[in-house]
Amino acid sequence: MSKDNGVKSWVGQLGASISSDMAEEIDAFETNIKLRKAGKLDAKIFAEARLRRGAYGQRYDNGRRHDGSKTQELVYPSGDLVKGPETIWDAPGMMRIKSPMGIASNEQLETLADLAEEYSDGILHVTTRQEIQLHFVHIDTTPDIMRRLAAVGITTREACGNSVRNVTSCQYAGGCRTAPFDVTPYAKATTYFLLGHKDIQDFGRKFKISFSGCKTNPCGMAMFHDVGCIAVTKEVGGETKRGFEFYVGGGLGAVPFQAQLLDGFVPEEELLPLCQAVCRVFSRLGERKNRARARLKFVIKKLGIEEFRKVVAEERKIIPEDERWTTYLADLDSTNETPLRPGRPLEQSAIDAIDTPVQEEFASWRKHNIWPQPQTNYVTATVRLPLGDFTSEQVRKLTDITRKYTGNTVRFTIEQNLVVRHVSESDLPDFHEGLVAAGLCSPGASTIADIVACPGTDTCKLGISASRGLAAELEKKFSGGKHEDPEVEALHIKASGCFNSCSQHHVADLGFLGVSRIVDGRRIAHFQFVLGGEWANNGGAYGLAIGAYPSKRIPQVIDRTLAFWKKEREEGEDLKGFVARMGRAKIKKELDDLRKIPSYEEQPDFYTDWGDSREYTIGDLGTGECAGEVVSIVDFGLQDAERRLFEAQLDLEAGKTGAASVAAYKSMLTAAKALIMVFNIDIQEDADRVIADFRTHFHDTGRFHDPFAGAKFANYLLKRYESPPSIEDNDLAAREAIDEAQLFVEAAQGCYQRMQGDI
Amino acid sequence: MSIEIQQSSVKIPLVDSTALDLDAFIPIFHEWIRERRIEEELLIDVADYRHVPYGPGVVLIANEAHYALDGSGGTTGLLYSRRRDEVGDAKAAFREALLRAATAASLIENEASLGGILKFDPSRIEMRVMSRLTAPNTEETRLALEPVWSGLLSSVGFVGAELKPQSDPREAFGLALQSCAEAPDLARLLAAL
Ligand code: SF4
Repeated sequence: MSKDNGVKSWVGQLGASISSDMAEEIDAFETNIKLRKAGKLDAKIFAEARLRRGAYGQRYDNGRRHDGSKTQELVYPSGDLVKGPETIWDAPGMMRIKSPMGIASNEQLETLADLAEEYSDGILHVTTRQEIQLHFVHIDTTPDIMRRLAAVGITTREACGNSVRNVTSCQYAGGCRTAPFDVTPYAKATTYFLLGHKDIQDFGRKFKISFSGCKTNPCGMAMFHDVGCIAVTKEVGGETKRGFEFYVGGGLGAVPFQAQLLDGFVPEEELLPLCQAVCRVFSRLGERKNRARARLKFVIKKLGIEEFRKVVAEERKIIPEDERWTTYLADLDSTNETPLRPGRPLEQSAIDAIDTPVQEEFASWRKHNIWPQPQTNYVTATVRLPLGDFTSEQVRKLTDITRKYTGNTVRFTIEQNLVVRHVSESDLPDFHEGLVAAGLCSPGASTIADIVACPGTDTCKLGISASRGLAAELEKKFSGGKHEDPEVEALHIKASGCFNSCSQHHVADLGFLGVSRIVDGRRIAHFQFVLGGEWANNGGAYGLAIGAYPSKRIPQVIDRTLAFWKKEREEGEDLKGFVARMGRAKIKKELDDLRKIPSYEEQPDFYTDWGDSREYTIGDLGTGECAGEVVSIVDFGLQDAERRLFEAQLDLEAGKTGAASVAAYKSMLTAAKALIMVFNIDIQEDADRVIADFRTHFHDTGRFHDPFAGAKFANYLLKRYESPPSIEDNDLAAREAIDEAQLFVEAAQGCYQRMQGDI
Repeated sequence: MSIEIQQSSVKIPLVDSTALDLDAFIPIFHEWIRERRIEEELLIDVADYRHVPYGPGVVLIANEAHYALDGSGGTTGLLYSRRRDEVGDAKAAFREALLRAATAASLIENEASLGGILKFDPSRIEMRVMSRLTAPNTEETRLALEPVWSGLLSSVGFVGAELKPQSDPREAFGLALQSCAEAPDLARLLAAL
């Protein structure tokens, strides 16, 4: 047992259970910690190193926290020592732990439980990428966490940073009626082929891959991944060949893109080389400077899918042959799971034997939490985890259940639940009884009550509104409810704390993302309402942004929207179809009065957010670490301007020329506002204020002036302000407005880069 | 011989767990942070786990320790869990953990907004060492630590304490007070510490 600074360590305690490669990597990381503490390693470099090992920052780690009336300084014992720019050493952080395809064995689960108790707050949190996060972790303890994970075959390598993130796949893979074959071995091969691969070490941003067993169900979500693979088969020479529909360039965030089909049938032996070729192209052509445009989707947008296809094909030809491309194909059964108990049907007599009060609970749980498998008399059971959280004690009770009834693994889901596969139907009553004792028996999996939420203002440095607080409130509202309308019951709600979309709200029926507004000089938490996204068909369509509503009014916004839909829908019309038919304007009008804000004196509670008694502020926003480098609030504002510009282009393409002109102008205002935040974080929305501050800080000082074009781009904004665009604008005017806005937003990016250089 | 441990924790159960309204603890803990109610601690944040059955409820996160209204293990009470900078050997660490837990419990009992509705019952006190490295859940650890904990309890007014170790070897090492002839109330316990 070694000892450093009085803290004992697991170095050398785990013997041969940890591979020498992994031990070396973790020791090297621990050395970086020591070097950083000794002032011999630059903070930014250390930050990148820890991110690549899954150690993230967390809210308040800049040493400041708003207590509801003022910002307090958190004086940590580590003093000036930082683990990254503005990230204090002693401040608690978050540890992201990869679990490829969401799979975890009993032993791995129990280790995660131990770690949660010893180093975190006793809670394991399931993410929308089928991983586990631990919060409130001290950086000094991270090497030991990594060692103990490594000893059970888990790595945190490339869990964050500019790398290939956790590869996801359907939780039902191998036990699904609609999939032509089990994608698990392919997803696993892709994970370990790319992990640490030299071709993925120089990305400009993160890269996400998913595998789906079919086109229709909402499991693998191919349509919003950088690479999305959907299992298909093809008859070739009288033989059924396995392969994949290969989609590229999907993504959520401020500018969501649907993935495009790169190849309709990639034979299994071509899967890894094609993934590698796409990674190499991304590494070479991906944007580096402008982080808002650094994802693969922008490379494809710039080149067009045809050109991108050609470039990838050329790249594929020159990659040196690698035997790992196909060796795994000889052992595709290695990921098969064998049920522990014989599959038997559930007899009515067994249901009748359940105690009467429990019988109803069992029926309600069985209605939504069970997925019939193709294997006769076996089902997959969903263990619903409210807000994705469960405790170490619950883990141990769960592994008792899995050891008794099913076998060695569970899978985490992108809906922040977990599934237990291969449960014999005859065991369901006993299995359920075990879950009841563990407090893991919430019914309503994948219904309107099963709400997905990112960490938001609870722990995320970038959170603007309390997505978890809202989700908890909505869970209370919808849980246990009997919805007379099964179509309402089947809806999905997802809430993100900011536009980064970690809850995947774009594909929810009712999606929310945190924003804020200032009214009468006070800031109020809001959520932008995104309605009518498609969860099925691999996340087949994104919702329509309706408008921003006060956080405290969101339950009413939902009620009103559902009532409107129920009243006005046509025979058999789903919410997505209804939204498309009604359009934004009518829905917005229906909800208009819900935007009103009561005065502070009337309703002070309105000026707090869900689950937080402090008066609301955005003063706690920190610098994001989403992809390794610093992402400031200004970056976000500029990204938002890009999004608006993109929307203007879409309007133009749809022939809505007036709307395009207006949106283009708004994108300029948004970019200007983002820059002003450097000097005034509380800058208000209205154009007069933005222009006045822009003149003061950027135009009159010459700070915005382009090194070559001078005041030209700044004047585009001032000219538009003097003579604002009109909804009557024609095509020519709209094109001019978009061109100018494009140049202005670019100039704003350039200005901010120059300012950072000056700083 | 002194025994070094890390991360000792102490749970003082509530007399009546049905009186606990977790919702009330969101504003209470925020206020504790605002007013720096626990002087020895750097109070950082409030973690809300009200939605987790048998979970830590609402947690006050501090630099050295966490304070939770915890419902795990079939007992609801104030759980003090040391995270960092342990003081000295097991004896000193246990005393410190007991003192901090009792101090926080007393603050809760006297919290004006609760109107005296919550009372703690030291006669069912539990301790754990949340470090499987320094205190694996083994008979050897029990032999080493039980006398230390039991000695501390008798020095602060517990008479005839009978302790029971955690039986699940996967759990962190811990001792629950099964029964005792006499136990101090919270005020007496604090005075004795
Ligand atoms: S969506 Fe925003 S607030 Fe939520 S976790 Fe992602 S970055 Fe944080």
